Amino acid sequence: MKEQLPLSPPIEFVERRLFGVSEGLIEATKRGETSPAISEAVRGSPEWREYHADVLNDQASQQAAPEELVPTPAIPQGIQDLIRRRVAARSLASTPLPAPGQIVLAEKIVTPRPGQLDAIMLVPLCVLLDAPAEVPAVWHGWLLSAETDYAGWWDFVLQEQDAPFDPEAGMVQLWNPVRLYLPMATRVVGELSPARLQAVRTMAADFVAAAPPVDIPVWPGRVASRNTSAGLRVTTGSPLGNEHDARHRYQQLYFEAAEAIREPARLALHALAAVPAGQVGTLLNRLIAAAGRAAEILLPEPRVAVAMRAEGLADVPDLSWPDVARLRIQELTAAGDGRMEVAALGTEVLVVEVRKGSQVEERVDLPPGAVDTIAWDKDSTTLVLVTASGRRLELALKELA
Amino acid sequence: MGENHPLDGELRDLWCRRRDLDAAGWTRLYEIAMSVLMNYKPRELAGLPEDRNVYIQEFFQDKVLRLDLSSQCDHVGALRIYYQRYLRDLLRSKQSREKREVSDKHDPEGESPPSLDEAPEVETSGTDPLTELAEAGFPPVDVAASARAWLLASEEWVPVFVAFSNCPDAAHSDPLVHLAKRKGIKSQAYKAEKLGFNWRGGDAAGFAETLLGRWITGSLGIELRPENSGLLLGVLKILCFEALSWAEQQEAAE
Repeated sequence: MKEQLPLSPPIEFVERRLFGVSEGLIEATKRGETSPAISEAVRGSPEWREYHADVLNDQASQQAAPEELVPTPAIPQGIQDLIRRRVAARSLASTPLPAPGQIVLAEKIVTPRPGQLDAIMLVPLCVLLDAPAEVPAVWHGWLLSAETDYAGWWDFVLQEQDAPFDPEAGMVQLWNPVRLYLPMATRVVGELSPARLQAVRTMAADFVAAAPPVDIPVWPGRVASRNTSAGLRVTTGSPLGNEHDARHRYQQLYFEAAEAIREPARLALHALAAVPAGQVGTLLNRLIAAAGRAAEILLPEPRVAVAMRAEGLADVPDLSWPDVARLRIQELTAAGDGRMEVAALGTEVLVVEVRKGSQVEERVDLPPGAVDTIAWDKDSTTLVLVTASGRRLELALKELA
Repeated sequence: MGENHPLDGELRDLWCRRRDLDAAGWTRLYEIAMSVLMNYKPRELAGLPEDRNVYIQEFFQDKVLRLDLSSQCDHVGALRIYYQRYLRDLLRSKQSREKREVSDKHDPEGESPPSLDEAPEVETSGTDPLTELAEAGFPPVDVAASARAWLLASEEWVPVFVAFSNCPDAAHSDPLVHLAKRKGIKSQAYKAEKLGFNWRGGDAAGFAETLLGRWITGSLGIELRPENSGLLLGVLKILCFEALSWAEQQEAAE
């Protein structure tokens, strides 16, 4: 292994950021934003005591400390560069998702049913979207991280040609594949071109098929270019070295951190497995995916037995929009005509509209507790459900026909 | 705690909008961090070797610029505490690294020369690459002069990147001298392809279009052919020497 300069930031800092009792977690606990179990653990930690001792010390030492007027040094070029890249990536924030090649920011743990995981996300995680998984609301992808000093042979380091992308998305961890439940994704922070996504995919195929070469020097901290087995140019770190190579610990930490992405996806796949195949299933999946894009949750629920039910739809589940509505497909023809029963379950008025372009063809206003039916035909374009407080689902109907 | 500091309100607002700040907002946040922390001298600094502004800039890059989901910075006292705890992590890292170095002092493999393409036949041929260069009509002294000129004419990140990310000799020099410079390149990995260093098996056609490729073919006049890999190795050894010398001169000048 090449003798190495210290990797930056120190691995201790990476560990604290991902898993430690950070200042953010302490403050979230003080604000009452954590569960009782997490709160108890944080309050019993040495970091809690140290933090509060630091606060007292700071108060005491600053009371008598006079402030000098110190000239501010110019912003170093490296920091200016990071700022420029972050600001440039803001232009992608409103891009509709999902799409292959998008790099999305996951900023909160969302599970199909509230409270399924007793966990809190302290830092956002970036995911490169590859393709939909078994259900449209869940996508395959890979985790990304910012610390390119720790790049290994199977880390795809983003390059200037991939700009704009947020510095949090410095490299794609091919060794850390994930499935992402889309409601966790809040915004796009980067976008790989089809050619670059293809390079990532071939590198991922190489990762599965082959061990790192033994004739490449172990060189922590160095990033250089090479070709994948398919001849596509990629930029990566070197193979990992012996037990003193800090990149082993780095990968363990991020593999564990990725559980915050993986576990909600597992729960979602389990919950969404009830959606049947065929035309009605496609409609339900599109509604679920549309909800995911709007950071809302639609869950299949077994139908309550009713005396009169449409032929052929007995096994089709309802869709539950928790605390807002229940949706029940009553009819869907091959031509694209359809009918749906909507029940408003929440505490606010729910408006359901069928539109043809910008024209509203049909509209029902459902007060809390009301049930009504809305229908569309093959020329209708959009189904919209919106609550009084502005929560909104929008589905393109034309693509169903 | 410090609730009435004149910067508290501005700091609180900028901190909680970090995800969406524009360039002016970031610049202002940097100014506030520097003005607060340059006045703050926690005892942890005594165990760290460099000037405090280096650590404040590191803190800004590693903590303030990184996104998180739950921290708030309601007053300048909170910023000081974040900084102090960051310095403690640096100290822990330094101590654990020093422990490791005692038990893992020397690794002869680390002395292998750098290469553009890490060609095995070159590394084992036994021919001195500098002699090979001279015999091919490229006197090392001329190559060194060209390397110096190229480094000086390049953007600021290029010589730093060459010296500290691609020259194995960097780790044999006094690490304290280079620490600040080394840290400066950690955000520059996204320019590696543009610069042109390859792992073994890299793409020669792509290399010709890189900054290094254009210097070697354009300024030095060496063709990128497999039989010239020994010459390329010699060129890179000289380039590394010149880049490290440049870095030391920069350090001395500061």
